[in-house]
Amino acid sequence: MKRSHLLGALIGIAFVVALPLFIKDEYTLGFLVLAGIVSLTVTGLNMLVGHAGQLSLGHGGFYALGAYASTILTIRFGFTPFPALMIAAIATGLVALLLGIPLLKMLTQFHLAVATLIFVMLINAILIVGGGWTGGFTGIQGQPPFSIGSVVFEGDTANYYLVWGIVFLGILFAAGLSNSQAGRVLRAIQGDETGAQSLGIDVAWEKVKVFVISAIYASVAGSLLAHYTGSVTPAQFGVGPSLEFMVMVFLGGKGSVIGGVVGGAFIKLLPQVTEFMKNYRLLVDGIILTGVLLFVPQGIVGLFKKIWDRRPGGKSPEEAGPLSSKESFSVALAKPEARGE
Amino acid sequence: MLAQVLQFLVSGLTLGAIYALIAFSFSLVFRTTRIMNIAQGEFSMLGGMIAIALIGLALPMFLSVMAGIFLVAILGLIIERVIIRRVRTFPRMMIIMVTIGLSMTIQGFAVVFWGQDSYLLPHLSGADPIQILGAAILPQTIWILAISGVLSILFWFFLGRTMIGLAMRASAENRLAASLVGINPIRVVQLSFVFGASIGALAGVLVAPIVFMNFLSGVLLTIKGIVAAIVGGIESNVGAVVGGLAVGLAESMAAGIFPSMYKDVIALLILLIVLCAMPKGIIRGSAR
Amino acid sequence: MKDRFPFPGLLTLIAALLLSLSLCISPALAQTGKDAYKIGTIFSLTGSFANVGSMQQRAIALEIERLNSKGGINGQRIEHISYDDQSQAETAGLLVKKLAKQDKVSVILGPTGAWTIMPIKPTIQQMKVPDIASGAITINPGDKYLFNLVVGVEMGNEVYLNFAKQRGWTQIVSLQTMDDVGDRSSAFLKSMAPKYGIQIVGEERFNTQDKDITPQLSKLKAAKPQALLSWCSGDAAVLVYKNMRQLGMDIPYLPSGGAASSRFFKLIGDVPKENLLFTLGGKLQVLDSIPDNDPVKAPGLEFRQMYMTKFNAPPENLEAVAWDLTAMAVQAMKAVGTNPDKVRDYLENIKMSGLQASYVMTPNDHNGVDKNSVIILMGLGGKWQVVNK
Repeated sequence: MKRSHLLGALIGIAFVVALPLFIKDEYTLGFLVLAGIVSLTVTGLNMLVGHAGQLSLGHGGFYALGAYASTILTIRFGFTPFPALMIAAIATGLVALLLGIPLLKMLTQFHLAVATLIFVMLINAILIVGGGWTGGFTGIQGQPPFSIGSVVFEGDTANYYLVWGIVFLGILFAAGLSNSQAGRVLRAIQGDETGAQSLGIDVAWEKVKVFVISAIYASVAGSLLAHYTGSVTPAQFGVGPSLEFMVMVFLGGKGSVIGGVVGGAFIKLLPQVTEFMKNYRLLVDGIILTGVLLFVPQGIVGLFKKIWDRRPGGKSPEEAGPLSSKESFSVALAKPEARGE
Repeated sequence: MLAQVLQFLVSGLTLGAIYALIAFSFSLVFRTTRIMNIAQGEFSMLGGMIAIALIGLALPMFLSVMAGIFLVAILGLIIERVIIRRVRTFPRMMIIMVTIGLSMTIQGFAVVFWGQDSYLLPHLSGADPIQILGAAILPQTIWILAISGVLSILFWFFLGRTMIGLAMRASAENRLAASLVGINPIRVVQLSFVFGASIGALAGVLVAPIVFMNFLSGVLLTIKGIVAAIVGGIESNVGAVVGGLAVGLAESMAAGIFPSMYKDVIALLILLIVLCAMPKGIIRGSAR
Repeated sequence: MKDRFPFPGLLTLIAALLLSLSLCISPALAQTGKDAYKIGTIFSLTGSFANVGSMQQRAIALEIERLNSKGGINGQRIEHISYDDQSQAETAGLLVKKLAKQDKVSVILGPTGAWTIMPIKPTIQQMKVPDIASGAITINPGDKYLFNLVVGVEMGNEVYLNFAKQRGWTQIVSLQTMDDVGDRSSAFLKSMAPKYGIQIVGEERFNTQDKDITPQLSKLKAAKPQALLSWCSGDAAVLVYKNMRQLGMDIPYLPSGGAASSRFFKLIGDVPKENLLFTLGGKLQVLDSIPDNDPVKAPGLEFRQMYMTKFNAPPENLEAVAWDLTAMAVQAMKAVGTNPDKVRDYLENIKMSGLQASYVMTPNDHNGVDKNSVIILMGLGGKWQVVNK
């Protein structure tokens, strides 16, 4: 690992850890907690989108599963939060597995997108009619604060450290995956599926694995959300949030490990900044989003990377990565089947 | 009892015909450009809203409707020129995301112009339902069904038999090859978008008397339309119509037969299963 | 595009982001001192619930303006800090914190709707600022800081059952929404109708997002009812009415009080005859005929005048609730000052005559609506008119 990277990581950690010493008001801290939770989900989603190149418009569904499963386990069955979170994550992982196997064999990105969309709508519908189990439209309130053993995380500061600590772990894992053999395999799949298959990679299975991992990220985030806000309602977990996650992935930087945090923070921050625009807010959000996607498709992180790489000294050979985007796409243009269309 | 079942059928056909039109415009754009346009429903929303606004300014019904469709068609042209052309080389995923951004932007415009309220258009030929065997059918439904049917046939003919139609399909298949034989792919995409936008707007105008139009209407229509297109079989001419009717009927039958509480869950479950089991849709495409 | 650990350029970005975030969110406003009269409002000004939220917010803004033009409270201006929850419960929760800790308001008004209020209940308790909300929620003894002014689901249905009994409608059907409100409405009707000698001969549920309710309605029609009760409002209420007309169901339709607006008529057209459409109303609709010594009459008339002039439309039930929220907050602050806890204690025992209804709050009843102040309105032609009981 490069010196500069290590230094960068340390500065980042120091900053995150020190922040609550200077900012104590519940509003800002609360905001940062929510931003962190969202970042966790998006980091997981980014692994699916960025490394494996698959689309999911339905991750809100896994987010919901984590939140509601944790809620039901702790309130109804008396589990303590930490085991409940683990069980919820495993359960969500299983659902993702069941779903992933048929879905990822889907013909095109398009089909996958629609299927994941139906998935999140289905989960949303189930939550609304769940009555006794899910509290219907107004959901369930009263979750206890999160705790691991006898350590209880109550209040904004405690949850800030909890959430961002887990986000850090999540980023570590994602970075590890990205740099490992598994990561290279995923990028090969993204570049050219047929080619990867011919190298002996079980394309479908690898895709499913990433799908499951990203679902688990979302589940953990959902559980944390439930315990922090003390409430879950179906409206928080529908198509809207799912699409928002995808937007965050692209805004932050598809494939970048830190992209999840950047994208999440940016999208959460945006309404705060544009709030004064009232009626014009949606329009401005739309223009910004479209603009960024059109002109900065590599996301904010990608943009910075480009700028960073241009400085004297520039990239090292390892940073060049596999097939550059342009090359993979011209391959794709000639053989639509290769991309799985 | 018969009357009730008939009523469910009518309700299903009404919804279904609406979804069919959206699915149709969506599938048209997809089959000729390989682009999944998530903003498709917004064309319908705009068509409806513009027509409503014009009628509010005391323009006659026919003119308002035509103007609505025309303006949206122009918008389709502009969007193609400004945005679609630029993202042509982007990976599939990015294109989808751009259309999502586009969808938000259009909704944003709608809020600025028309606020967040809901509106209704007057019916094309009166709001009094026709009674058939105890079930009430709105004349508007018959219009929608008829127009969907006619459009289907027209486009089946167009895409299957005319030079331009074949050229469009060829271009979608393999752009490079098509341009080598003299087809201008850029024109194809342009034409496609204009058609897509127009039909979308038409759908919106037909639906506006029955369904409330507000800035969020596009989203719902898009989702249902896309699902209908996939379930019906996006590669086939008739697929969109079949898919639309299937989705609409699934919804209304679910409401009619099961306790209405579970209607959405059942309908969505059915759709998910159908999709997983038959990814190519109910009607597999004739060519490819 | 691989990425090991975040590199310095990126970190600077994050640092800058977080920093600007905390700066822009932190209070930059000059505090006008602890004794300033500050009312915070949280409503959905954008997003899917915006048509209700924005109407209520502007009514409150207008009323505060009117009060300030008359000298505010004890000669001092009332400050109105208004936020948009963007139809999202999470944002509403954050805004409660902002209003309580950064803006230091004495009382919060809003949000609207059970789906936004329920999730923020814990936050309201934690922040210890009284919140007078506008949604059909049940308030438990533990929710010390939460108040709610909307005529409750149970109370509204009770008024309807009473009315139905008077009219001799013994067989009715119930069409309720698939949410908490619908659940409560359905349960209430099932258990209370027999006590009024009324039988529920059919019940269906529907989703407020539905575009077509004829399947449910045709099932209900088959039961040959004399009236249809449906505790819904907004577009859903309009749709039910239209679908009923479509199916030829010419029986009385009773949606919730929230449906009563002139916008309703814009969307359904004119009501052709009597006894087709009813709803709930309050003092607002009978302002001209209430006795002059009713404390709400003078301010109410003035408010109505100002509203009509500014917005070119009469205020209706939604605005009546909003006005009551404001009046209640102001009455409390006038009496006990700006301390949130003192305001809360006062609110818990308040008696007030408002535009939607009259209220008598007690520690066990944070809703306090006086059933007898709720009236029935009938829709005819293009307007609502009062039905004499």
